[in-house]
Amino acid sequence: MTDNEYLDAVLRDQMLVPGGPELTELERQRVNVVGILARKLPSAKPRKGGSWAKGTMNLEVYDLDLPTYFPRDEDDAGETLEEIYDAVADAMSEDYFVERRRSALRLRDKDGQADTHIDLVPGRFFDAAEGDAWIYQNNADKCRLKTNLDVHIAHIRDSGVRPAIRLMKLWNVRESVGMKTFVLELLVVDLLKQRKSSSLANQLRYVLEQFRDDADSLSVTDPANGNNDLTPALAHVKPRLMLAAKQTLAKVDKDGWQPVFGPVKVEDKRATAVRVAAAVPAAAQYRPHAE
Amino acid sequence: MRTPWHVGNPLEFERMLPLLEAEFPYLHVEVRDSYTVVSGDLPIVLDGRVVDSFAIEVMIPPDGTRHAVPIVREVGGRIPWIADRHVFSNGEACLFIEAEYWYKHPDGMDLLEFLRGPITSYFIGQMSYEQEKRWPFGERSHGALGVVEFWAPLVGSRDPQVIKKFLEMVVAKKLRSTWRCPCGSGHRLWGCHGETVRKLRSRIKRSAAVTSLSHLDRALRARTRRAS
Repeated sequence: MTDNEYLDAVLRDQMLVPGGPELTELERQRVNVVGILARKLPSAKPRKGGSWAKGTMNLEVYDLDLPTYFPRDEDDAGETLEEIYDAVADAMSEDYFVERRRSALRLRDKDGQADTHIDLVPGRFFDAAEGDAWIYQNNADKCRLKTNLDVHIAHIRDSGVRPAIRLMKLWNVRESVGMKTFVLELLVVDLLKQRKSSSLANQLRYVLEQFRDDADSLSVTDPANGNNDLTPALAHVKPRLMLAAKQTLAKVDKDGWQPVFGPVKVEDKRATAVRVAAAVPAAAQYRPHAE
Repeated sequence: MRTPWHVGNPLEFERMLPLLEAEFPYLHVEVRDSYTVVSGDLPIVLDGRVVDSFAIEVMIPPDGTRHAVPIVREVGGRIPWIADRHVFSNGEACLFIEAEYWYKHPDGMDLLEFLRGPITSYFIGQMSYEQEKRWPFGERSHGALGVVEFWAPLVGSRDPQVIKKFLEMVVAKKLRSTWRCPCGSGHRLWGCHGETVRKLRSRIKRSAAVTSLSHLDRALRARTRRAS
């Protein structure tokens, strides 16, 4: 198996399976949360964001961000961002244990044990166009932050380097680097913007080399808000980032990528292809044609 | 420029989007010109596990998937753009003979049905071809021969000239009682294959039948040129 075949297999193993238990439960919880919002805060406009919308979800660590913004002229959740944040938390608290994070509300089951993998991010749209929005920042220097969900999603989703992003997210978790996912995604997109056509293995190597050799030069700006310099968010993870990148590259040089991402399910491709085809019911079989 | 499907049919789109997102979380929707485009990774699942995936893009025409066939492409560079892989020279996948699709599904399919059915079938076929150099569900011969293969059992003849005559009736704006049957029996249409033609007209979209007819026309003209 080549490096790229191996990395592709890692990505496949990390896909959430259509109809699988994780997606089914996530969707069940999402429908429940959206229903609660519709009942209690009818002007809320929750939609899928985060890694689901960006196409960068990994099975090992996944969640569903539900940005829950309110129209500019509606005040059923309150007038200030803090009131909106509190109102959404209150609306959920009857059914969930709500963990208040800086901007997000993480929902756990009622006894606070099981994670639903759902984060609500309350906010308010700037205007009727409903693109730019303000979100609340709990316990931060600035209590509000300008953002734009569509810009964030498009920036990552259409970057052309989503496979590399998914693998670096996995690496970030496995190596306990602790970098915020959003910051890591932006870094990977920025570092690889001239290397979209490189192989996946070469892309990963390049990103890791930059982390190892040039971490002090790394900078990150929010694509939806030029004033939101995210570089300070790197400061506390930089030593760990450099060390982990150095150790990973040493492993790759010595033994390839497998020690980094672990074993993958190796199967007989031919037998798999036969079994997959055999599982397709006759009514769903089509004969291709060509001119 | 025509209105993209999701703008022209907001209710259908609003109903479909959460279902699409829930079932295919690695596919997303964007707008390109007058097309609503679904792109991302299509998983191939076996025994509750993703065993393969293809980077795809599906361009939904303004009429929507119920009334028109989406354009499908593999965009990961895995499948060569050659006829033997059932890919046109512009990268479009040739999932089926369009007339055959409408014959099988005269009411069309919604987007999810189309993803689960023809698109998944096509990419499972590509998986098999990569391993075994054969199409697990069969394939239609290239060009007009494939068109003949589809139409022959429906009209009861493999003769391209006869099939062409049937097709001319399938695409005609109106059927006339005075017409002779295209099968060559000499009887009037309604006393012979009238019911067959009526059924074909009711199931197969006229535009798809026109495509079949033009395939045959080209092939027959080329044959005539070669003969002369």
